[in-house]
Order: sequence, then C-alpha cells, then structure tokens
Amino acid sequence: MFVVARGIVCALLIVCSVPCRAAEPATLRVSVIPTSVLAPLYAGIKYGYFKEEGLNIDLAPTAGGAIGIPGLVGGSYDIAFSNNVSALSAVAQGIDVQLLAPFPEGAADETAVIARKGEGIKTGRDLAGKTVAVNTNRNVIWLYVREWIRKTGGDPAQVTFREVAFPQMIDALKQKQIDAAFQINVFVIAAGKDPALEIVSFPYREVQPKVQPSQFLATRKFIEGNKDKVARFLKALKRGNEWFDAHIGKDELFSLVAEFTKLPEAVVREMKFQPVAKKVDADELEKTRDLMKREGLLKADVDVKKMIYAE
Amino acid sequence: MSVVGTLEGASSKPSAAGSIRRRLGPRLYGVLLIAAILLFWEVSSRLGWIVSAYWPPVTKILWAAISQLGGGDILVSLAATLRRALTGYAIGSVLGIALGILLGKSKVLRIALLPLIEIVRPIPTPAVIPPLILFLGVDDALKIFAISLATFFPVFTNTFAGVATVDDTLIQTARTFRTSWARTLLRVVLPATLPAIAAGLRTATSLALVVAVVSEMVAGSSGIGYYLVEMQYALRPDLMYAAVMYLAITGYAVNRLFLVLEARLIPWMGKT
Amino acid sequence: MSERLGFDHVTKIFEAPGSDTGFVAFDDITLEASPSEFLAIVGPSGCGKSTLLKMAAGLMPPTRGRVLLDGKPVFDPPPGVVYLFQQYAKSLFAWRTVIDNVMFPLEAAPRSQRNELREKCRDYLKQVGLSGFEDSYPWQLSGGMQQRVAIARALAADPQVLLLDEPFSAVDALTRMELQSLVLQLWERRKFTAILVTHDVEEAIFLADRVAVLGAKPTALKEIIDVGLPRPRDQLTTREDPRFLKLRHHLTSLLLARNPAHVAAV
Repeated sequence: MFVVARGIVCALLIVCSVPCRAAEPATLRVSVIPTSVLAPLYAGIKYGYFKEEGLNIDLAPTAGGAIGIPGLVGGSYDIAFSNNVSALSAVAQGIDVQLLAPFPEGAADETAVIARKGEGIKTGRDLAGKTVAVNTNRNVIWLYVREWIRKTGGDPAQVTFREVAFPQMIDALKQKQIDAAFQINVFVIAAGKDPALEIVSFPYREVQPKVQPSQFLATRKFIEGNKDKVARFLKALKRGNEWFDAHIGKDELFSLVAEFTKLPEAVVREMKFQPVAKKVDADELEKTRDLMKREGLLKADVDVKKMIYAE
Repeated sequence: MSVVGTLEGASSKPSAAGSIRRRLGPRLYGVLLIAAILLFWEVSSRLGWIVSAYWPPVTKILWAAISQLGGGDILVSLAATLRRALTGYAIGSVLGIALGILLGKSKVLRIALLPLIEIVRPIPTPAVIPPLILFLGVDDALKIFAISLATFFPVFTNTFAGVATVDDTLIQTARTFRTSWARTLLRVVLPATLPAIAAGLRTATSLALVVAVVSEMVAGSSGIGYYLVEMQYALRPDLMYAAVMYLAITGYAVNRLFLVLEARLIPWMGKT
Repeated sequence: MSERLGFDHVTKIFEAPGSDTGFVAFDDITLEASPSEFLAIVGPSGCGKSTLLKMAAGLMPPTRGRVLLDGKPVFDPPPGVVYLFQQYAKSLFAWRTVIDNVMFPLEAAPRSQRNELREKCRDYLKQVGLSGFEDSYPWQLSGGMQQRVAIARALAADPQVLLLDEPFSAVDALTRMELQSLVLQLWERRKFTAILVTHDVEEAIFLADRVAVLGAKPTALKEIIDVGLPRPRDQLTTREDPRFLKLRHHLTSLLLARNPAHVAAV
C-alpha cells in the first residue's frame, strides 16, 4: 500500500510544487520511530546538546518509517528517520532527499531470520515452498531476505512473502501461518528465549555485513534554505554520538533507551550496541542500490554520491 | 413483574437472587457471556493453552488498566484521540447533514455533486491516508480530515435518504402556509429528517473513533492508535489491551449517551 | 372575511408514461364558491377531487383554464387559503407540541407579538376543544384530536377560504360527526368560504349550501344542487329532515349512475 502511496506522492510532487510548512525559528521537527538506534539523538536532547546550539528538537514519533519521506515532502517534518531503500526509491522517483547522518553500526548482528525449532530451516534452500514474513513488501527487509535466500542456495521465486507487522511475527510463526520471519532486535531477543523458536541466520552478515539500513534525511530544498540550522543539528548530533559511543554497556545508556522505547530495561540490557558509523558510506549504499536494481525496485539509476550530504 | 410473582408461587417475598435476576432481566445472559469469555481468556493464558507474549491474562490487563487511572499515558492518549475524533466528527456531521438536505431537495446540486460523492464513497478511509500526507501533513489536519470523511458518508447517506422519505403532505402543508424555501428546509425538512440523521450520526460515532485510531496508527505522534503500536514494540501487551479496553468502554459509553440523547431530543423518533 | 373562489374552464391532464395524450383528470370544469358559501364537491373515489382542491390551493397548476381568487388567477398558494388534509397525521409536525403546531403559520410575525399570538393560539385550541393539550405532542393524541389540532392551526392562519380535503374520512363515525359539527360551528362564527371535497353524500348535505356532483372519468361536472336546509344544523334533527333524505336519495343515485328523476318520482 505504501509503495503505491509513495508513487502517487511522487507523481503529484512533480506536477505541483508543494508549499513547505514554515518552521519556527530554531525549531526542527524530526520524525522518529521507537527504535534503539535513535539513542544518540535522544542523548543529545536529554543532555542539552541541541539546546546549546540554540535548537529546539520537536520529536514526531510515528509507528513505522513509511511516512517519513511523504511527511518530509509534505513539509510535516524537517528531518526524517528513514531507511536506505526508501531513500533510494525516493531519489529514483525524483524526490531530492539528502542523507544527513548515519546511525550506530551493528545492524547485521541484530536483525535475524527466525523459524520454528526442529523443522530444519537453516538456509534459503530450506525455504522453498515456504512462507516468509517481512514487515513491508518491496522494502529493505524484503530485499535483504531475498538476497540471503539466493546466497544460501535458495530461490526467492519459490518463496511466498507475506506482510506481517514485527510484533505479530512471533505469534504468526507459532501458529504456523508463516514458516520464517525476518525480525528486528527486540523480537529477535524474545525469539531467542522461546523454546519453540530458533534463530536461523543474521542475513545482513552474509549479504552485506557493513550495511547501513537507516539514516537521517532531509530534502535538498530544506537543507539549502536552512544551512545554518542543519549544521548546528549535525554538530549537536555528533556530541550525542560521542556520548553514545562512550556509554556503550553502561547503565546510563540502558536507562536512556528504556525510557524512550518504553521497553523493559531487562530487554534493553540484552541488546547489542556498537559505535555510531563515522559517515554515510557510499559504497554500502551502492551495494543496496545494486540489489534494488536487480529486484526491479529502481526505475531510474541513482548517483549515490550525490545523495549524501557534504557540509 | 406480576408474572414473576406468580411463577414463584407461594413465597410472598421474592428471594434476593430473584430480585437481582429481575433487575438485570434479559441482560443477565449477555453479562454472563462476557464473563465466561473473560474467564476463558484468563484460564487459557494462565494454564498455557495459548502461549504468546501477546496473550496476557485478563487480570494482568485489568491491573494495568486500573494502574492507569491515576493519570497514566492511556488517559492522555485517549483524550487526544477523543479530541480529534470529536473535531472530525463535528465537521463531517455538519457537512453530511447540510449536503444531504441540499442534495435531497435540489436537483441541480444532485446532478453536480452526487457522482463525485458516489465515487469517493467506496474508498476505505485508511487507504487515502498515505497519499493525503503530502497535502495535509502528518498532524491533526490529516487525521481530522480522514475522520470527517469517514463521518460524512453515513451521515450524508442517511440524511439524503431521509429527505426523500419526508412526506409530501408535510411539504405541502408548509407551502399552503406560504413558508419560504429556506424556512421549509430548516423548520420542516430538517426536523422531519432528524430521526434518519440521528441513525446516521450514531453509526458515524463508532466510525469516527475507529478512523481516529487507525490514522494515529499510520501517522501518529499521540493518541490511542499510536499508543497501541508503541506498546506492541515496547513488549507491553498488557498496556496495549488495557488501552483497547478503555477504547471499548469509550465506544460503549458514547453509544449509550447517544441513545439517551436521542430519546430526549427526538421523542418523535419512530412516531411518524 | 371571505373571498370568492372559482374554477374557470379548468382542465387537468397528467402526463402518463408511454402515452401521448396523457391521462385526463378533469375536463373543462367551471364552478364557483361565493364568499362565505359552504360548497361541497362529491364524486366517486378516484375521480380526482383532491386534485381539484390542490389546484385551488395553488399547489398544482391546471393544464388549461384558471383558478380565480376574487377574480385574480392563482399560481402559488395565496394568502388566506388554508388546506385541511385528509392525512392529518402527516400534515402535523411531529416534533412540535400541539401549541407550537398551531403557532406555525404565525411564526413570520415579529418577535414582539409572539406572546400575544400564543394566547390567540390557546384560544383556537379552546375553540376546537383541546384546552389542556397544548404541550402534548400530536402522536400522543387520538386521530380525531389530531384533526382538531390541524383545524386549530387552520384557524390560526386566519382563513378566508378553507379547503377541506376529505378531512373526516380517516376517523370513526362518532368522531366524524363531532368534527363536522365543529367545522360547521367555526364556519358560522368566522364566515370563511369553505370548499369540501368528500365521497360521503350525507356529510356533503349536512354541511354545505350547495353540492356539486362530479361524474366518472374523465371527470366533468354533472350537477349542482342547492341544499336549502335550515341552519343552524343539527346532527340528529337535520339528518331526519325529509328534505335531507330526499337529497341523499337524489345524490346517491346520481353517484350510482341510476336515473335519478325516475327514482325521485316514486
């Protein structure tokens, strides 16, 4: 549904230019989703780094990342949390977004394919004729699980993909509505503890170990009109990143994450935290782009280097 | 009542159980059914018939719900949802009633607007939310628009149909008293259509609530819809169900309130 | 206060789907009620008597000919012409109390006069015998009482011409007599012009000064009869008057399409 919606949004964008909502001075509206990788941003807010730059961060939490880019284009957000696949699709469809900043590394160690224990699903080959759950078809999770199936001797054409929201995947798996699921960190931890389930593989590790699934982005139009504000945002975010890197494994970080994700702290303590990536990596993005091309997710070629914001 | 007395035979004083049964009357069975379902839920979770992190025992949910009464997130979220639902509902209702009556009475407007309305009507509201983000943003404008849209259709359809069934004698009566067109609409057609409008309005209350929640799930920063999703990701199904429970109670209360208001304000309902 | 109401060569043709000529409801009817006259129009069911009355009220235009109120052609509902519908329940406003129903024709008046007018309406309700029911809703009343509300409302509009469209046909026989007497009483007091449409021959004779008889389709005027019974009329004595019986005989046989002269002679 969202892919179609995005198509409509893009088509409309080309036809008519949409007036941007005028942001109040010194306030930045940032869309976020409840995920632990946003910890540096929350740290920056909590410890006043943004305030010291004269910025007020107005957080707009949403349940999923799907509305990040439409919201950005519609002027609801100044800066959005989004994933690499959505960003590349947007650029290919003529929406001029720029990737501003990277997130903590380690996606490859957190996101896993899970299945029922004892059914012998170990590789992509074992999934022939089976059903695999992804959160959204034709998006990042779908793209990488297909590539993983290919790399491990299977054929994605023989696998049925079903859209299931992350929180429902474990139940769907146990009720045998699906046979495997590509799942995010919180639920991978839960599945690891469930005697009926097992972790099959960490697909990113096998497909693209240094993948950067998420970035902060903004439209070029916004960036050019707010150069100073963007620079201050990145400066404060950098301090947040430094705080984050310095507190990995420490109580302050666990309680910060538990606070904004509302997760029980015991669960947060089991998460794996790795330092923030130094930059948005063009090479990794090109790999993602090539995978998308192969799956027919990109209608036009994208110059990845031009997508990455350079101060 | 006297029948019950006879059935109880010789006993002159009805037993305590009998009096409760009488007071609850036929509702007793409905209450018992709900109690049985909740009991089954509790037992199935406690004894592990259904094993899922998203199937907490009812008592745990109730406890979560009660603990929220002291001013928790659920009530704040519920207030946000209700505020949106009410705003959208008001806009959609006013437009639905006005257009329903105008189109019902004016052939020109009917020809001009009815096709558009018929085309938009079958589109499920949640489907229009994502493309609308471009124009209305992700905030209240979007949600209130979606709620208004969802409210508009049942109100409009009922009003429009209601106007068509207003008896011609009533209109002719107004004409013989040389009542102006506008006054006839306002003083005759509108009140004569009120029972039909009320039926549409009542259907729309639950729709407004549902669409408010759905729109918050898609593009929410606050409200029960967003809270539900947030609690799913936060592994707090007890709070999620507690929020659902509050929502159900709200829906039920709104419906009851509506019925009471209906009886009060439209005493002629079903009498013409 | 009353006015003259006349039909001048009135023809009404309803367009019928699939027919070029249409359905002729009346053909060339000329008939006039003088000021303060009580005119009754009788005819078999389905001859379109109500259509005639609706044209008189300006609710429906004639196909040919004119309806004249004091010599002026009627197009829209003219002031002072009040219509009493057969379906009183559908003519009353269910959402208004009895008194507010009666107030309806007076609501265009300035606010300052409201209280005064309200008192007047109470008086009209008293005249139709509904004192004490001001705050009831119409649907809480019996059929006869509902028609009384409609009559009180008609009075409130200060009728110069009152059009009665089989107003008593939907109530029981006793109530019908009561309502007939009531209308007669009010007519004698207010002296409006009254045109009654009915299929009840006795009702027509009992109430009217003259009775116009309509024939079967296409409806045309068959005969106009002077009643000539003395007034005030009484439900018992008037109906027992031999002239009443004779008129009844005559009109009934006209409606049954027998030879009236022959029967009358017997």
